[in-house]
Amino acid sequence: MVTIAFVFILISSTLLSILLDMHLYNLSFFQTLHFSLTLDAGTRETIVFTALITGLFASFFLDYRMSKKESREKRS
Amino acid sequence: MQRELVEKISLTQLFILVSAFLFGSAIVVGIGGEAKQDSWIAVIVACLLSIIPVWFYTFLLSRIPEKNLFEIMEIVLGKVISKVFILLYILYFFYVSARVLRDFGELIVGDMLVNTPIEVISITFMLFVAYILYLGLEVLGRFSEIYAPYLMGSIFAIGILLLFSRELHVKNVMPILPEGIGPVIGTVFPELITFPFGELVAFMMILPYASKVRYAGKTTIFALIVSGLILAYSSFVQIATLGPEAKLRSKFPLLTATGEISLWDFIERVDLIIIFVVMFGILVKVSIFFYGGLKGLELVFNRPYRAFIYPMAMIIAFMSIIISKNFAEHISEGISMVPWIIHFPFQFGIPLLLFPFVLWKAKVLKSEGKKR
Repeated sequence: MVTIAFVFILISSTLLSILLDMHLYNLSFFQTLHFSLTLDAGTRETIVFTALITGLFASFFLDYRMSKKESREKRS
Repeated sequence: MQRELVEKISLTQLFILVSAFLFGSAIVVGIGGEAKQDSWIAVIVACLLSIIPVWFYTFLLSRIPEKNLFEIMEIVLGKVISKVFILLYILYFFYVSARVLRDFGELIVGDMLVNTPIEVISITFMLFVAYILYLGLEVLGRFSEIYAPYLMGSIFAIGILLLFSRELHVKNVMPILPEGIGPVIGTVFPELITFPFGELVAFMMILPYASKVRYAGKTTIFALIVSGLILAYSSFVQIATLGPEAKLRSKFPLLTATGEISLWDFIERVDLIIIFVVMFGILVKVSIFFYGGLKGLELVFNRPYRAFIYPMAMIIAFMSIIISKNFAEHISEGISMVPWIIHFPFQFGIPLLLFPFVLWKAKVLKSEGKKR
């Protein structure tokens, strides 16, 4: 569930940001997507992408832990 | 034995949270600049007009007691339809969190830690927010109680120090209303009414957790009035020091104004204190919006909200960077689109849409209660 929520929120908030940029710059959806998500050389955007990936791994781990806890409770 | 994490805040804590929330990024970026030397009047007008929506929010909550906005939606609209609205609100809360975080990041890398990447600021700040919220709303309340005197004291001290530094020129505020009331009204709608005052819609997620719920509405309105007056005072100080044109041009007007403080060649660089104060306001604002979104996730995905804290904190840190390529784009989006496309529907549209359904459901619940 945490992973689903993570993916859903990430996709929809990125879409929201892209839609606003499309409106602001009068660009097409794919142009804006490219403009927003491309890592510019020389910037340190990779740092925040790395943090995002740790968030994804954390959600995998949390889901695994919760499912394990649930199955243990069912057994007992 | 592990102690249970409490989710209750006192009325004093609520008062401080509302005040700090309103100061938040409003103090950083400066508000009402479009009304030029009358911006302080615009802030007072917007504050007084904002009593109506805030009263409306508390009225809506009082119809179905001890439930937050999302729980009310679930009761009134049913499980399926309410989930759609809740997901939209979650996006709204997270998006605004990211915007507020970006304001703070720009302030820090622009004036203080100039060699530190904004990404590092965003991630570190979100880890701090995540830790506070993991410990619960009560910890946020207590944390606010400790820092509130510094916040209020610093804002008042700036005006006094500027006065003693002979940098406060009342002629900058004159003439009052030279172009009539038009520019003031133009600034109040939609800019000031949605930012920062309308953002109090996020407190619809907090008010039910006040220890004395009956007085929570009155406390919020009282805090709104006090904070509005302090924001107007801050705006007055900024104009009197910088003048309306320089205030409008400045990225962070309060910080620029504070830079002018120089007393006895001894008290200088007071702007660092401002950054500390602003950090507290931003922390409260990001935390409240983040908490609102997390409570929504708890309801939609049926998992405790603490499970979502770290992953969502990283999404907000990520969003704060990708929402705009630079500060100019960030501000341009915030002025031209966000009030109309983002703020208005969530602050006024959906609560108004919900209003008749809440009244009807409250009546049904009351009659069912009587039958029993």
